[in-house]
Amino acid sequence: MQESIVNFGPQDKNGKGTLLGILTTPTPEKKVAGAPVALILNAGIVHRVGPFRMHVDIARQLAARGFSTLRLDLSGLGDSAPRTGQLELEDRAKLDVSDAMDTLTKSTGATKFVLLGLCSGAFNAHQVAVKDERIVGSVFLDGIVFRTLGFFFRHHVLRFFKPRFWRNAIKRRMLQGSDGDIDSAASSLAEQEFFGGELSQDEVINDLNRLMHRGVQMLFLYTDGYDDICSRSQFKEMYGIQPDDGQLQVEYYPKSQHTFRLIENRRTACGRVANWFENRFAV
Amino acid sequence: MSQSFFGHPESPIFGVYHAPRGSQKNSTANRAVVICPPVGQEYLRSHWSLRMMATQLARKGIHVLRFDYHGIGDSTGSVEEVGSLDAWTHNVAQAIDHLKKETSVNSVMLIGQRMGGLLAGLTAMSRPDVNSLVLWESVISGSDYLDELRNMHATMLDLWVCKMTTPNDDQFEEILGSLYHRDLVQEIEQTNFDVARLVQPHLIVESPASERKFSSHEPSIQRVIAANRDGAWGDLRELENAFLRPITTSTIVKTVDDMFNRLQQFGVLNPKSMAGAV
Repeated sequence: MQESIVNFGPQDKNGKGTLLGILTTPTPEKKVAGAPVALILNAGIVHRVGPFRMHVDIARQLAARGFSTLRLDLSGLGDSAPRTGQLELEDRAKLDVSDAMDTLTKSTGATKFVLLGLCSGAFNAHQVAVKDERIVGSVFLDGIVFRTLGFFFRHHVLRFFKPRFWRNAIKRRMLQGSDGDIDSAASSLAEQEFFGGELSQDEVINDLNRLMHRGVQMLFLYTDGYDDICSRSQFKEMYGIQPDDGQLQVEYYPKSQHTFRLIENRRTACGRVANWFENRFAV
Repeated sequence: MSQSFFGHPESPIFGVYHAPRGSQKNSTANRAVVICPPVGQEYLRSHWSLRMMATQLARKGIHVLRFDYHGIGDSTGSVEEVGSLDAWTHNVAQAIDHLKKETSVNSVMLIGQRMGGLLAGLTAMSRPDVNSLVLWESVISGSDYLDELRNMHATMLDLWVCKMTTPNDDQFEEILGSLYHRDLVQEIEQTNFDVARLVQPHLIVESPASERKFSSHEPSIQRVIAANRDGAWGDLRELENAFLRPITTSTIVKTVDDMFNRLQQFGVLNPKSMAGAV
């Protein structure tokens, strides 16, 4: 396995790309010929390393199985320079990812790509995958969700019968004063930062059907820490598509926090992503 | 800004170099800073802030190098492989050597935050080419630091959606998302850094709520200032929030500029006088 620096995107006065990614490549003997390259997008404002270094773990696991991965910083994040001009966040992501793919095509010959993203990264991955036909697969970690009737029942009714829910709610309230104010302020900021635009449920349904029609392989992993989803069955309620073990795979991790804080949760998710990648693209 | 992997080819470490900018860069070409970041989740929290600081320092005409320790960030390896603080102080030394090699400087200032402060201090004691230090809310007592992290970890688990435990055995201990080798944990626990042993001029930036006292063998080389806002390093609610302290950052940058001016006046930045300067 080797890790190297890739500069791409708008050039500086010396002709060097001002955006940064770290390319993890397998040893030549391990390399799966013709396989797509994985591109991991920023989660929120966390730089290319990912929350709790998760992006590094995924990239190295994929390399061990023969696949290359670029962990990149979108413009203005991590060590990538901002793009000049007025651009919406999702437009910026599309341009940045497109530039990264162009650079990798030139340097490695790769023509097919798989996107991976957590939270805002999943939102950006969705937007890019719909628009760019070079994308042949995508992993959405806590991707776009909509609350359903089933969600309201499971989330707001069933959990009230769990003693641990009440215990934790009281303990959180007691934890160092005005928890709620800080949380809501942070959430508000995060929402603005993470999601530059909004998509309606109908738009997402159309997008997913287009991706299915295009043959794009998809893996959705959801966690309990993501407030708007609380079971795997919610996926069909949201999008009317039944997940399977093939092109559209969906999993829900009831013991995991949104950013996979615990090593055990992280290992499970990273292993699942690596297995999925190998199963869908090794042949 | 340019990035590179440097150090031993078998275990390269990742660095970002910020070249001096601005009209005064020719007169300040002998000024250089190596930024030593925190480790673990604190490393992620402070990345944005330290990048901002590096940019501001470069605008003052200073060469700046940021880097990641072995097993952290983009550097090679994983943190559970690190069995001693020596591995990370060795990385600090590699970063100093790299910056000296890539530029014309003969000595550097180390700016260390949290664990980075401790590593900077430990490194400075054996490196005459460290001309000064900034210790930003630095770890001084390893056991206090670990207590703080362990308390947060325990509270996090206590509030988990279900009963949860994490590895804490003879070999490893999981603390806030990182798996640390027991040897490293024990060494940190036993480390108590005596700031008075520093012979270089040093700026100490403390949290406003801090009650820590610092001694010095020569008070004129030590200055202690308070950050404008608490670091909240021990607050679980801040665990995944970016550490953004623009006012404190600009205060440090301004003070660093003053420190370099004084070092220049005293001839410390003059290559020929370096050997006897520190």
